Amino acid sequence: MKWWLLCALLTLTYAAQAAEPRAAGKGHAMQLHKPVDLHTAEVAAKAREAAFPEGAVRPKLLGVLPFGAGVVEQWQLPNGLQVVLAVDAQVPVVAVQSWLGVGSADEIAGKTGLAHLFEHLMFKSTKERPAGTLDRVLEQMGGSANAATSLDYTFFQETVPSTHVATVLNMEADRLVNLDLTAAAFRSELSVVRNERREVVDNDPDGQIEETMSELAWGKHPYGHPVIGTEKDLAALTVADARQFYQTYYAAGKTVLVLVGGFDPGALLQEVAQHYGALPQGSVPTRPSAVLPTGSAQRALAIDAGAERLAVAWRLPPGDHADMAALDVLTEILANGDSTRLAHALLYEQPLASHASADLNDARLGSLLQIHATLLPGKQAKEALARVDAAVKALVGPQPVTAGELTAAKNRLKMAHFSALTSVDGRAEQLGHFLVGYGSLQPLLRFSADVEAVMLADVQRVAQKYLVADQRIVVLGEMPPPKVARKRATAATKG
Amino acid sequence: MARHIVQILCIALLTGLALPNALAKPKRGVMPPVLVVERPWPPVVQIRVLLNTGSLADPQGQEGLALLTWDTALRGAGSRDRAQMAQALDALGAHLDVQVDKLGVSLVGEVLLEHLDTFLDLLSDTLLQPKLTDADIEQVRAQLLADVTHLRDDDSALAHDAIGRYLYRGQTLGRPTGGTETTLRGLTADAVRQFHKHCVVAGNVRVGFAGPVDETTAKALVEKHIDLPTGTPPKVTLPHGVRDGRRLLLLDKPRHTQSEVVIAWPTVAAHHKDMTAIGIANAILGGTFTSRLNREIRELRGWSYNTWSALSSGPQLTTWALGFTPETNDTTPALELAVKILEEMAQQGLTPQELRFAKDYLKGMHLASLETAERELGMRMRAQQLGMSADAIDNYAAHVEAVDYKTIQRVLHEHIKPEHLTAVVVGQGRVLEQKLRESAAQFEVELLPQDGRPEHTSVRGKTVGTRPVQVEEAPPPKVDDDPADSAEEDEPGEGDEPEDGDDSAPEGAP
Repeated sequence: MKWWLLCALLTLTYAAQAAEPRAAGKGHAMQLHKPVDLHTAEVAAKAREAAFPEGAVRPKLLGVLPFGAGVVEQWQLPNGLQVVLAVDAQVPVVAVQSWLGVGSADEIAGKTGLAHLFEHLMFKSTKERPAGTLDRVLEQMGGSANAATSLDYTFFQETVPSTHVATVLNMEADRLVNLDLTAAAFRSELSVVRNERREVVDNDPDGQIEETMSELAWGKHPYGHPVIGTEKDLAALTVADARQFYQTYYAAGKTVLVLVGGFDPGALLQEVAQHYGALPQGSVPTRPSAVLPTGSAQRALAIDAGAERLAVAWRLPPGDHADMAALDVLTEILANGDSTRLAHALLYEQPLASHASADLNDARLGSLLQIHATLLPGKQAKEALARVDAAVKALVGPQPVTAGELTAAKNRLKMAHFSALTSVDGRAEQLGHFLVGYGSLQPLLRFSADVEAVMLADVQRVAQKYLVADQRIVVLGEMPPPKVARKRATAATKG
Repeated sequence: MARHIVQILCIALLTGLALPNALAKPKRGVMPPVLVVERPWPPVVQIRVLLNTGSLADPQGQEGLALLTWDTALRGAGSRDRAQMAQALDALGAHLDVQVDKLGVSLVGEVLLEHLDTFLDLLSDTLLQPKLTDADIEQVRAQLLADVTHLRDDDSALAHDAIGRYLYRGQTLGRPTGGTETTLRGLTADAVRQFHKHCVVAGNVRVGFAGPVDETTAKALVEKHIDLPTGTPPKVTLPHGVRDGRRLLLLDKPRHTQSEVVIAWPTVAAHHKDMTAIGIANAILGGTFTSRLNREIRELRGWSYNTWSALSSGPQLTTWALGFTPETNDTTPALELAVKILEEMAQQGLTPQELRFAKDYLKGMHLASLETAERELGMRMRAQQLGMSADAIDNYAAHVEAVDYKTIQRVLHEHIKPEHLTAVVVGQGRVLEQKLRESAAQFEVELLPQDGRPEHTSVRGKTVGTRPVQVEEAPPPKVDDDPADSAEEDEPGEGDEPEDGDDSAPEGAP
């Protein structure tokens, strides 16, 4: 899990008090925030709900949750649009993110890459606005826009000065239902995406390894094909495929709108109701489900590179599983820090690699704990694999996790937790990831407590349960042996 | 009064000192200036220690010295060896990294507020007392040699590395920060230790804090932990010119289906009066999704996913660059189109609508760039390093608004010189070489094998005479005992532009 984190958002109410430091014991030297009064926040939210007149589009308050030093409010429009509001009065910008519960896992065979392609196509013309309008208007107001696609979702993000947020909502609502996809726009953007694939996969050894890892780890599971799509499928996609995809997956009832930053929540909610309230709900397609594949796999991949690579992964349960906090801690203990076990095994003690890291990629249907290493020139990926295996064997056997390792891992997770929430974009992304990926903010809200509660025995248990041979996937990025040059002597003899 | 007492108590607790001496500790050496960007949340503090000596100070033939020195410094300091230092940092959940560029070295750390004092102890040791053992130097040397090899695996990194060397070949600016295989192997442990000693001196170091720390607390912590010796930092030789004409270095990647293209040229220094206008022009050239390059190369033709232009500013000059990543067959037409766009901009300038658009864009983006304490600190420290005043950031919107149409037209004509361009293409050399030689863009083409580096081209490169670059007399970076005072004394900058941390900018210039 990428430590989807708790967020402390300042409200107008508390901003004035925030800068007043108070003394505390050593180890808690400065306390710059008072925790939010949840009851006051709930009363204010209910007052906003009541302020909507009868007969108008009236957002329903689903809940107010404590979120760090602030709160996050969850709302829903009658057409099913979910709205998440988190105010930070100290910043002059707002992150506007539209999250759609469609990712590459929702694609059907032969049409891979459609979800990601649509991430690009959403910047084309609508029935009301010519192509490029959204980018132009956003940039003219000093904003920025981007988008991303994953296994489980697609999201569109804008960050704009607070004074322009209503304009952004107007454009976002428009493209959600009014996209006017022409064949010419489709063709040019498909060309861009195929170039993106060349850049990040076909001509990139690390991209090739990542794609191979997904294929081996997931097979025919919905996560088994690349998010960007296969070149074969991309080449065969048509504008009709794209239009069908849009009709199926893009609608108000399938969207979560996340707004984080400096705004008046009452006024912004009015704007949301105005721009999104009349949009059709759309029917919600059933999301794919699948059981975790089992079995080990290993493949040697010839790469065009100056040094070999190693990727090792283990399949794990979905990201909202009760074991995820212990698995996060385990990941940290394995590799994320210069004193960790794999750093010692690969980087410092008789070094084999120049870079090594571990990631826990959480997702709705299943997760992967992945270790990546870039070897020193002349060293072999197979050697590094033996070191990784030995480190894992020691961890589950004669050298169990120590109390010091546990404390360090928790501190690192705590740091990462806060760091990821520093910007309004980061906060919005955490909220969207959990709400759309897992249907609930609870895994996010309880993350800190869950990590803090992890005991040594928990880490040992999950290591023994999940880091097992029959769930281990290996990709060896190997350099082909150099070709033997034709001997000049032969040619000379012929001559 | 009560608040003041509370504040002093906080400082005492944070610095581990007993009242009432917490603020009256006698100085043993010279305390560096401290810059603080305070935000109440989250409870994480970023600390940046910036040294105004970067790889430009690497002596000729010793390229990579700054990087080797500071990467090794991370491997143990004070009483702790590498493993003990790593364990101490990991136990806090803290990060401590080093960033070396042409202009300087940054030690950048992040730590939970509750561990700030302990962390500063580790940071201080790393800055002032690194062990720099022979064994550690050898291990880091092996890592850096590996990085030189890895560079060839990443077309974008390879192109960015090559453009800097090729554009400024034979000059200080053209020397690679990461060194070469030859220079890295030749660096001695003694050179590393001497380099460190010369860099870490009063007047060459500043410290920044971003997060829930006020200025008084930050200064007390720095006073407790960092005492600098006096000395003279290494001097840097200024660049003197680049070659005339259009030159293109083609790095052969025989099996690649796509090309990485970067085109660059030098322009004026960060503090030059025209720099704000140049920033405006860059937004229209390739700095936005609606820029001319993005519209023509990406949106209309679908030739490239990644299409950009960027400024990499320095106190003496700025490198202006653009790039894109087309399929092999689209490489030559895309290159020709990019040159044509440059020629049109130089000759015809911007439209009034484009000028208005770019001004609004830059003013809005400036707000976002100050959103987090880390971004603001990075920007302010970078501006200080470039010899720019605080006014360049504080009144950025006014500076942008002050650029009129006549000025922008003049600036484009003066600062885009399409007849003098340097390009690097990483791609299928055998397929592209002839096409590029015959291209209407009229570049003098030089082909190197896939792992060829411009460092090897000196005997093959055709010298066609050099063109002087407009090199500014750089104002000395502001390193004062009291940055707050210095900020007040700064003259309002004319045309300054804060360009900070642009990841897409090539490394070829500071």
